[in-house]
Amino acid sequence: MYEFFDQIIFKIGNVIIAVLTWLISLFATPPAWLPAVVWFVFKVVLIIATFPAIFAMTTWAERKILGRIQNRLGPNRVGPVGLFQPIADGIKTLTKEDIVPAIADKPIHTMAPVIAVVASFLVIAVLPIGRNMIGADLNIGVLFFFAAGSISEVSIFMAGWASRNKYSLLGGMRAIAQMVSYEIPFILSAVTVVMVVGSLSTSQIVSAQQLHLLVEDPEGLGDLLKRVVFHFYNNIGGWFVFQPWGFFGFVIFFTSSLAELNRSPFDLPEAESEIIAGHHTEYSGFKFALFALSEYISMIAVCGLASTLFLGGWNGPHLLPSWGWFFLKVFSLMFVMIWIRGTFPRLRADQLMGFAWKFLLPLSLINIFSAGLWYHIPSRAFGWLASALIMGGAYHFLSRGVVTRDIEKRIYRFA
Amino acid sequence: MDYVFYILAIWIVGSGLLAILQRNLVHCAVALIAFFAGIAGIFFSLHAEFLGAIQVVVYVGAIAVLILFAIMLTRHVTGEEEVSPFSRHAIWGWIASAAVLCVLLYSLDKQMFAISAEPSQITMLDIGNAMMQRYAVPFEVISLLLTAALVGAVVIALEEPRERK
Amino acid sequence: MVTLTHYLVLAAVVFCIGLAGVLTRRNAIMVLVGLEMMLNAGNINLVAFWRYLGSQAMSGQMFAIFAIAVAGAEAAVGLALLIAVYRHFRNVSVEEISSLKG
Repeated sequence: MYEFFDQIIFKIGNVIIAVLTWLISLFATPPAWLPAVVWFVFKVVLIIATFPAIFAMTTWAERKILGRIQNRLGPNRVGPVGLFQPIADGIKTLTKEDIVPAIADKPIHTMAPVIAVVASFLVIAVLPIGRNMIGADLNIGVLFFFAAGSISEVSIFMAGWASRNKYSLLGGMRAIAQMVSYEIPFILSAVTVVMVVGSLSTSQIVSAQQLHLLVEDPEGLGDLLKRVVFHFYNNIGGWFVFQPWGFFGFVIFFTSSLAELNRSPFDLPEAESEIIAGHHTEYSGFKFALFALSEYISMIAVCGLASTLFLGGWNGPHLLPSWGWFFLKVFSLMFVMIWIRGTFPRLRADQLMGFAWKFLLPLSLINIFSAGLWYHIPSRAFGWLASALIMGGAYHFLSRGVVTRDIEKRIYRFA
Repeated sequence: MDYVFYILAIWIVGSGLLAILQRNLVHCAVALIAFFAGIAGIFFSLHAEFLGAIQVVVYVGAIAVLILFAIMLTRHVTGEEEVSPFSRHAIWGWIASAAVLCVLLYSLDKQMFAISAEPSQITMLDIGNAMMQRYAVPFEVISLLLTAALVGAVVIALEEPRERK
Repeated sequence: MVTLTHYLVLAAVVFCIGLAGVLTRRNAIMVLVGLEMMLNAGNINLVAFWRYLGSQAMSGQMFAIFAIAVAGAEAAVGLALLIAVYRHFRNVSVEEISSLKG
């Protein structure tokens, strides 16, 4: 049963190829390149169809969860529990008038959302979604992810600049400054995993997080139990998040990815109360929808990379198909992001920069050192302890730098 | 796969010309980003995938952004420039660069390379090993240089003390 | 068939576009842009030679990596200098910053 669900995409693809081959063979001999081309188209269509669908459901889920946190209902008019709200929103944005400001720089204003969407979709290609399910298994996978991700910075600047609006320009400049600063801990925290695995390929990173303990000569009920325990341990125990450097790397990665995505509490570039909506103030209709699409696709992609690097990718006990585990992890991380958005206040600009340069950057550098130590100490238990001690100490001392202790007690005279 | 090269070449030359001919500096920078992306494509077509990715990370993600920042900090925010690259004083520049191009192409013509490529796969592992073994000293020197550049850039761009103004 | 010559011609053209940018533009930022383009042309040459002549040696790729690192350092320092110059002269035109001429 598990095997069937794990392979379901391949079975569908093979059925399509078989049907096409049969159809063509009625008229001529099927060409040799047919399977490769069909697989290519199939993969692309699957990615282009699946992720926008997830995007639509994410917008609904985000509004629903935020509503729950803020003690209101959220969308509840269209369909059962407001489930068709994304469709209504889609029709609304498509039929809305597309307004371009009269003094805006029209070519760049039009190009910006397109580049944003392209950059966010490029990133999906290197994520291993399930066993043998990857868009393009490049041997520079992780680097490709960061390269394609860095294009989105440019698109945000283009949007902010081309709108010829002070708020947009401020938002764009804020976004670039923030993304350039947080990109460093973002990449450095991923470097630990690359270093330990010894490869940049995402599929090899996932398979490095599997353990291979075997029970010798399984007999009787006791050994069956042992096999079940070993099975769980093999599929969960190897996740890098259980190592001290992996845990800190994961936290650094997740925190700086919030800043890369311009999400709360790092949403200064689009802070509604200060600069309206930042770089997409002057966008309406479908272009605005494209920006929303690219933001959510990047969110899914970053959560996917976080689970690939630290949470074992598609590895998991065979209760769910491999892609089931992947999406379970992605959706859990996205839920945490929404939760954070609902509960954390926004940072000030100086706090934002101080946090990146004084805390996350040194912590991620020390994390690389501790990962190297862990890798080279032969005894796993001792290595674990040493790495944990270094990271705990670093966290303790670095966090003193960012906490402001001398806050005077405020006296409210007129309140 | 010839057409890939020709498309990339037209893309690179076109965006490169746009990058130096436009009057609006931000338009120049955007064309420059397209140019850098095209160069990354050339690296991919030469099977140097690592360099292609590095090209995008460093040039598009860092240098282009730095240039955009410099434009925003030094010119009018709209990026308009008063002088066009086609003004009278620029003619000597065009003549000189055309002459250089002629010399380069002429010297190229005499020693025709008609060697076809031997497909070879250099993985990330090889590059890493080379950096840590054969090229270890240059690697360290580069890291020193980058550190010095980082410190230097911060020191130079720091606001001058007020009383000196 | 794309040969080494194709890449060399492309690199030469790109180099001369960069050179024209350096020579014709007055704005110092654009001079820097031209310089970056010339460095990129050099990188095309290095990688093309690596690919077509003796690809086991890897020196071509390594040189290109180092060139990119140097270009990054150059851009950072150059643009910092430009900002400092702008703060002093309120101008970044290479022809009007001529106090040293006397």
